[in-house]
Amino acid sequence: MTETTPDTEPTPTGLGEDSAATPAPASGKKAGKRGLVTALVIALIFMVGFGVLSAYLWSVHSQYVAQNEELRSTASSLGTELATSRALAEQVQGQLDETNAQLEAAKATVSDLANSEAHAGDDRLALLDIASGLQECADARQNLIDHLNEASKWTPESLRAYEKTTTKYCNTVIKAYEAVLDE
Amino acid sequence: MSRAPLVALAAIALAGCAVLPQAPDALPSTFIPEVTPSAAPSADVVGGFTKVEREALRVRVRTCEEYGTGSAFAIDATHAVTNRHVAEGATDITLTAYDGTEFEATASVLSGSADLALITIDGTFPNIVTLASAEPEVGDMLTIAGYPKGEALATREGPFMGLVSDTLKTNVDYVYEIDAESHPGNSGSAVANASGSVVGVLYASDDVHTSYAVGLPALQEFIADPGSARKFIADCSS
Repeated sequence: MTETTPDTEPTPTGLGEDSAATPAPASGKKAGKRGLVTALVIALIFMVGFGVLSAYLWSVHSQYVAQNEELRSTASSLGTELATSRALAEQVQGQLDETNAQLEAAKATVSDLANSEAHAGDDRLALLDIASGLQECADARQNLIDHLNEASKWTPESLRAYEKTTTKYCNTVIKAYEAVLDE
Repeated sequence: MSRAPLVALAAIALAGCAVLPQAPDALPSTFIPEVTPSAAPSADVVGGFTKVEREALRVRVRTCEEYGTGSAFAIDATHAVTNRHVAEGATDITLTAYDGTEFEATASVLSGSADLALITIDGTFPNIVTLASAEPEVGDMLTIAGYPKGEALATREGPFMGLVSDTLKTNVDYVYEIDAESHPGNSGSAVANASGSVVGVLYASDDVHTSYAVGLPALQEFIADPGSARKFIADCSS
């Protein structure tokens, strides 16, 4: 920056001339004043800006703090809920496992009982057949005795053949009976 | 005073605004997402028994020479299907359900083309099978529920291996090969697919890990036209 001050001494030629010949100092003061005002305005702008920025940051900070508290509260609540649910799920799973085991046991019991009943039916059928066979065996032996009592009416060969047939049949029935008993 | 510094300061201030922390977004109304509950336990299981198990019947057969056992399944209220070689020559047939309920048979029809027989009972079956609408595909898991060796109800699973010709020559058509264990007494067991629908009737096995079943087409054909009901052989004297 350069001043526009004249390099010659002012000549006192009159009042009017004096005032008209000294514009330079007045211009320098003006410029200094303007600079000061500008500086003040800038400082004011900065201060206002800083104030606004601070207020903004404070507001954002407050919102984050509030949200953080809310999130912590929600997380704590969810954590409690999760822990309760997990405990409940474990309890229910335990009960379910126990029920499944009981169901499996009940199923096995039902199957075993049905199987026993079916086998009892098999045995009953076989025993009924054997009882019927034994009855036939007894009838055949009674017939044989009757024939032997009247042996003169029959040939010895036919009697021996009848006895052989009866014995064979009775032995078959007895073997079947013993087989059922062995089972 | 030059304006350049002021402009620079203003620019810095504006740039600074860009890095200022922003206010937090509003919190969601809930942090708990919507969760679809897993599928409820299958209603297929009743009292611990699956549908296929409840449908399995034990067969007790008396012929003129011996006693035998097999397996069967009800196709309607009064008819059950088993193997021809189970019912053949029977003088008496008794069916027993998984829970011990007994049903007395009154007649049987033997298939002429497949190892199948239809038994008629005096009573009402409570559990009736559903026939599948399509044959299984290779690799499909199949279930066999029956009474191996005449003992307690047993269920076995294994993949469908494919169609094979019947080495026993008891069936006209091809039969199913299944990689699953079965034993004598399993004859007549229903072979069911994953949804519990019947796709075949077990009739043979190697007694280790391979089973063979009459296929769905032969079963459908037999059920559609089983022929006339025939009384059991009543006289063993001849």
